[in-house]
Amino acid sequence: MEEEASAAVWKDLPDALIERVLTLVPLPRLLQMRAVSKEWSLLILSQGFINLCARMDRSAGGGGGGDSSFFLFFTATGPGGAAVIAALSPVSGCWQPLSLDPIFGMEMEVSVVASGGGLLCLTAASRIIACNPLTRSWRLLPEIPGCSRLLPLLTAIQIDQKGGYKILVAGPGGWSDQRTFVFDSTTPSAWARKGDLPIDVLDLESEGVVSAGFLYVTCLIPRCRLLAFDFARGEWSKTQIPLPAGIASSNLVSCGEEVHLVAALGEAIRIWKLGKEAPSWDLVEEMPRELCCCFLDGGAGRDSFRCAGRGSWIFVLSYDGVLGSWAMAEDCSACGRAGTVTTDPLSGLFCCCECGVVVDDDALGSDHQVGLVGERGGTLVAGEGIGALPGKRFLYRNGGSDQYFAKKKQDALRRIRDVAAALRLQPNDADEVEAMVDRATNGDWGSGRWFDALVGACAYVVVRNHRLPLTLVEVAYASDCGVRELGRVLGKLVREFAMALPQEDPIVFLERLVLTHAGFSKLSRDAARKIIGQCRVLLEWMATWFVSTGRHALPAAAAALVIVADANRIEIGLEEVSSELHSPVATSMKRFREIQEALVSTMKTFPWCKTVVTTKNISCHLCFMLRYLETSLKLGKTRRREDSSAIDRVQDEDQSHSKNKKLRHLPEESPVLPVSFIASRSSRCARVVKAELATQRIASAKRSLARGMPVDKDRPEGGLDCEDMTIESLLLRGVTRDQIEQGYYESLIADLAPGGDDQPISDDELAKYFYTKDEASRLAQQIKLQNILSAEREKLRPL
Amino acid sequence: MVKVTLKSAEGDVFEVDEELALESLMVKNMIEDVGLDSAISLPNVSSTILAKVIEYIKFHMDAQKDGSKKTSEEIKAFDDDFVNVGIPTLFEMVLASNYLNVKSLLSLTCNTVANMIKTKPPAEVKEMFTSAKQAKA
Repeated sequence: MEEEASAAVWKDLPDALIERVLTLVPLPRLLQMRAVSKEWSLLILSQGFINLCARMDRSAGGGGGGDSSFFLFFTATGPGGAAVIAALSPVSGCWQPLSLDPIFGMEMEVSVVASGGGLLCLTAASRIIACNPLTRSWRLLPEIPGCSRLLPLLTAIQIDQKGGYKILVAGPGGWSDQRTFVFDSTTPSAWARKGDLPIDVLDLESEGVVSAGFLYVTCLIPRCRLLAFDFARGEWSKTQIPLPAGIASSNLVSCGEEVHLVAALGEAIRIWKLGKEAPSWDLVEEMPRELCCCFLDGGAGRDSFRCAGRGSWIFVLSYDGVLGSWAMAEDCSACGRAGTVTTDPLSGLFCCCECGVVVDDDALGSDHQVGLVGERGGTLVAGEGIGALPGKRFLYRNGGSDQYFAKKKQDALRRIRDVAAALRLQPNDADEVEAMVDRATNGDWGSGRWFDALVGACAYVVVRNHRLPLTLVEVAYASDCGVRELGRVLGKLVREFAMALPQEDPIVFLERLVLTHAGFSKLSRDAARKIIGQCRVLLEWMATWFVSTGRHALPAAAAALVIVADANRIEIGLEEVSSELHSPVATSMKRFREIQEALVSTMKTFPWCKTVVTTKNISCHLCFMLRYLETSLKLGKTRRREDSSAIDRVQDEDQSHSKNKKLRHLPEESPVLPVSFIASRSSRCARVVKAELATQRIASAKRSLARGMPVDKDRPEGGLDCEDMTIESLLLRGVTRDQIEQGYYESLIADLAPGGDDQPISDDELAKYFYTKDEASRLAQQIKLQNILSAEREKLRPL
Repeated sequence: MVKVTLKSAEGDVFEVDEELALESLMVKNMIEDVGLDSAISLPNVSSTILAKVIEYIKFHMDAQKDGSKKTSEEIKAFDDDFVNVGIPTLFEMVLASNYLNVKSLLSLTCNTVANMIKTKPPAEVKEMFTSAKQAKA
């Protein structure tokens, strides 16, 4: 009770003194103390407090305090996939578990690839994360350019004096990737490409040490060489230093400004120092025999120990957590006396017997701690864990796949949004596109060129369904793929989903054009409406004139717009309108002429302008014509309804007859018929007449032959032409008149061709029907040609 | 040797060597300002605490003298013993060393408090330090 009351006095401690006290609390505990209150949390992370910590002369505290230096141990990936991290205070020898889980939540699968200066370098999918596990702050670095899959040979962190850090990634794409990138936290730019790895270096140890502005790393292929990367110059040094011969399980350690190599040689473990001037290795220390035996017998094979250095310390950690290390004959930086560092019997670590502290001048200031890659709980595994590339590959193949798909989907959605934004689609239209893409890919999304085309095709389907004034060309442009490619994908999509795309409505395109194009900018809104109305009228008449059937409406619309613009005295070229509507100019020009001809022929029905109007001067009459067409369209609505019912009636009557008969009954008064239709109808009529006459001739000839009289030599005037004879001979050979009316003589002759036996009439007999020599010889010639032709065909058939 | 007169909160007078008094930066400033003639009044420091502070400074000054035979273990033992006091006394000493601005003593006492904090979970630390402030708020 009394103690409680006395403890209460601390509540009156001034803030300045609380701050002072807190600077003396070791970092891991200090960071836990953020949980005490909001004020403390803000205080501990404030810049002023960190500066104060850095200023404090920690060794001046005397006594047993100041154990602020500690080691970080971590696994590449732990049992649950997440890295396990623990901090060890070398003085007290106690472990402090840290966890990354609260930092990233469970969403990200991370794997530790490098450490340095208290920072960890993690990979998640193809991105690198820089993380401080103590402050639990992290930063997702940008993607390395040109590297979609991240399998770096080497990752390293360099901490500079000002608290900035650099992250180096060598060979981001794995083997045979010689590129080297450096990320500098002090510059806002992303990854900078530095000098490539030497060409003969194929694989590196996955960890290096950073010392005095250089990164040192041992080569795996070619073996036993030391490479150095100069951070200041941003390139790999030319000379490669060979390692001492015969060593195994080499570990590079950075102690202060020097680089040491700890490796097993024979039965002993030795330490070499890298010479500063000449690239050579100086043997500095050998592990005492007793310690070495104890260390190696403690479960650690010679191949399985790991080392870390800090200040004047080298820590050697064995496989099963036996923590062994021995003093280097080096100066303790705390008290400056040589050879004073010995083993601390309690913790199995070394401390300076003069001052009794492990000194780390700037432990708090810039988070300087030692990083080590290790197994859970501080036991270390060499060769497993971090360095093993297969482990990383596994992450990508299995664990990382969810991440991969999430990213893919995210990218795909962003792509769809981009295309929708470029086409200025409404948000719900964009949702529709998204749903369609989802359906088309079975929720698999995708990336790459084909996906762009798919997004474009889906967007175009939505555009068509909503009758938006956008052409395929524009959609192709927005989705960044070729028009043909887009057309192919669109066709596939429409077939796959059995969609029926509604026809393009040319009016919406014309509206857009008239309202936005510079040529029409002087028009008032009403005038623009009027023009659009006239275009609509003209388009309706075009359907009546058979100029346009509704398919490929845009060239016709372009032509109509130019004619209407002409009538309204607006100068605009057909080429310009065609290109605005993304329709072929030639087709537009054709439609333009057809409309002109149709207009002229319509005007010629008026008695007062039978001769004066031609296609050349039609533009003078356009204004009147358009108004006439407009009114007649309005008036004609009712009349045309009657007409169409009359046609229906005719069709009903002719239901039992063949199709061509229906056509013959088509009302003649329909103003203009398509030229090809008229031509085919007239030639068909001619054939009907010829077939009729031929039938009559055959009948009279048969009558004469039956009576044994010579065939009547009277011929119609002009004699018979080739077509008449062909028809007659076809009829004699049993072809029906309907077939002849179709007009395909060639194929009919070919069908009848050589067989011979089943012919109802022989060639000789046939000759009887023809009177003059001229006719007979022509027929013979025809038959001869026919035989040659069929013989040729017969030859070709086996091929 | 020049003597400096220090007067505690209770009015008790302590006569110390100038050299010793100058260890406290606060006293040093006072001497520079007002001179050595009058007694320096320290209204924030009680007699017991002032006595302890003087004892600490005296020991360390002796230890640093050339003829000293004290080893670092002895100094460490003294320091440990010195701060091995009840919490109210420790608290007073932190305040006094801060007020008198004695660097080494402040470090020692603060370290002692820091050691207390680091062995306790945040919840207990919270109880120790913040309930009064929350009550104020």
